[in-house]
Amino acid sequence: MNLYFSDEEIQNSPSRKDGISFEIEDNLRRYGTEVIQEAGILLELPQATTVTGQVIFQRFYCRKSLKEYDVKTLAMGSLFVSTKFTEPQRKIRDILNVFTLIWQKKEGLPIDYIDTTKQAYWDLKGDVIAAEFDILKEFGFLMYVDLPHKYILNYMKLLERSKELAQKSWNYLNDSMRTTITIQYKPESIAASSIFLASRILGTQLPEEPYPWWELFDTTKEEIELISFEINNLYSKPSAYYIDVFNPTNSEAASPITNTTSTTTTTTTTTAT
Amino acid sequence: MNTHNQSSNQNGGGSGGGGGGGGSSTFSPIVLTSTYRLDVQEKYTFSYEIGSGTYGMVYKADDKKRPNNKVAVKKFRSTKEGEGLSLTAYREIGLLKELSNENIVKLLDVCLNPKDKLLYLIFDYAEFDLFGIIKYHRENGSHFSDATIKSLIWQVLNGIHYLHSNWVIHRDLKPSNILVMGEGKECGTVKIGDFGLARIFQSPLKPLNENGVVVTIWYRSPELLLGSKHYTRAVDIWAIGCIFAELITTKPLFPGKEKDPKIPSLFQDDQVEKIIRVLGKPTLDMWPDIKHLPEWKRLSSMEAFPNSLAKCVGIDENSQAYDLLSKMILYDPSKRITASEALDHPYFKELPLPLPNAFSKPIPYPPRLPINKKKREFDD
Repeated sequence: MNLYFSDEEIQNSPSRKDGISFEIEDNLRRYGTEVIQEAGILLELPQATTVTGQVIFQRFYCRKSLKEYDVKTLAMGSLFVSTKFTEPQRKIRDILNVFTLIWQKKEGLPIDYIDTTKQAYWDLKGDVIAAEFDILKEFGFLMYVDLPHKYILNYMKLLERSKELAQKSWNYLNDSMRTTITIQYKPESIAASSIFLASRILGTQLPEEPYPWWELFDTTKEEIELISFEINNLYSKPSAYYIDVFNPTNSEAASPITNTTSTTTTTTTTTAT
Repeated sequence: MNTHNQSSNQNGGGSGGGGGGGGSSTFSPIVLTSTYRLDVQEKYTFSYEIGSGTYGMVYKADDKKRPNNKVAVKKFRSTKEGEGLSLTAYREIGLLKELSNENIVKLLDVCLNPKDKLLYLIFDYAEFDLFGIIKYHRENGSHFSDATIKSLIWQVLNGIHYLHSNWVIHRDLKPSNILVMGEGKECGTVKIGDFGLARIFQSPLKPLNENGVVVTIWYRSPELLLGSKHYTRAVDIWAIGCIFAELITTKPLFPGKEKDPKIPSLFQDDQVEKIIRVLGKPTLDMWPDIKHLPEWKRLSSMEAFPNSLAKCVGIDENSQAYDLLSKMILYDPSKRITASEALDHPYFKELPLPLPNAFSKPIPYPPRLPINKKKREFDD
């Protein structure tokens, strides 16, 4: 069993009750999943661990408000929990160092390693362990994540398609983790949509006779188009950035999201294995 | 928790590898809602400590809402290094929440205490374990009845077959992990427990409690002893075979002495010698792959002995019990009988037949006693 949420549940997430708009939540979801991806690369984690962390993060904010749980803490906690469930062990100090480095780079602060003798380090460590508790408590240890990546690999072997198509699909799949699609649709459908997008951008024809290729994924063309639209829409959104809605004092000062279009539409590249 | 109307047919995950064989079955996880959960102290009345291990402590307790229900509360210590909850806890909970079988211990509740930030697992309370009841017979010079032995082993195999069919390898089967229910509707039912302790390459664990029970290598299979890093479900079958023999004789079958972990070589020569004294030395004919194992040369230079299993266990070489036992402790893991095949063995079809209640009336075994010592300090 996987955990899925409806459009309505996401539109009316717990953050809405705290006056946080859908746009701000969407921005923070993208921000949190982006930093998890970057941390996963720096920590040399297998993609499965990183994606599991992103899914845990997305699920959590369908149950809890952004005002109640800070995005930065939850991003660290989600990846921390994921490393334990998928078992490439990483020390909590390494996780703290990597995420701190990412915050510093993103916010233009001087790069500085955490001093483990300072109280700030222990406070941060306590925050992550508390986040671990909150995540596990919320889902009752029901953390199983069925990843869509394996369906791409299986399909490519079946059809003997090019490595280029596989890599492109893989990249779209990684990007899809920054949307709530990952907690709304079953992994086979998301995999199929990534293949669809990749085939379009590469001009590769996928078979529709004697039966449409998407039937292998137990999905429909309509569902593929719906998911593909959402993934594509990602590249029209402005770059995600941190807003401290967790701190009540600063939340009123948060500026509204502008509608400026991002000038680049790079996809997140990790090598498909 | 709500789910989208499109449901996945994916099976839940289990740990451990496994070769081909039994197909996986679809099962639903037991979803425990943790929101607004009370402190463990508010739900359960603790009686006394009944066990301990590297994970923490186990207590007998009463469910306040159902006064007649005894439970076992397993309290996990925080890790020494301050790395949050232990991997042992993750592994055990992750598995037990997915598993449901009459011969697997049932996880009733998970409490993450807000106050002390500790993790508590709540299980059905089992009054007995095989270690305790074997010890009773050994000290009294008595033996289990044939019906009890057969019922216990059948139920252990039934639980393990369920695990193996779901791609789970227990990896730590020994008498103290085989629980048996006391008085009640499940009286005499086996419950396989302790899913979080299985470790192959970790340094030896500390003593379980003051009674002298230690995690031993007595139940470790020869492929592991000879350094194989690839293990299969056959390691569980070997352990059950050792337990089977121990139920018959009330003495461990291969009681080797574990080496001091500080000694550089990890080859457990005493344990291996205990095995070859009973089963004879393995040959390339009976175990072709043995020559690929890291410690093969050490074994090949050891003294040879004839097979004396029938004499050691005191059963007829022509009996079905001997046939089943010998197939469970074959050297070659690929030839060892599987749980599925074992359940279908003629031994279980001849009288006396295995029963859901393994005990005869009245139950002669004493109940668990509280551990007589002060509480240990934990790194909280």
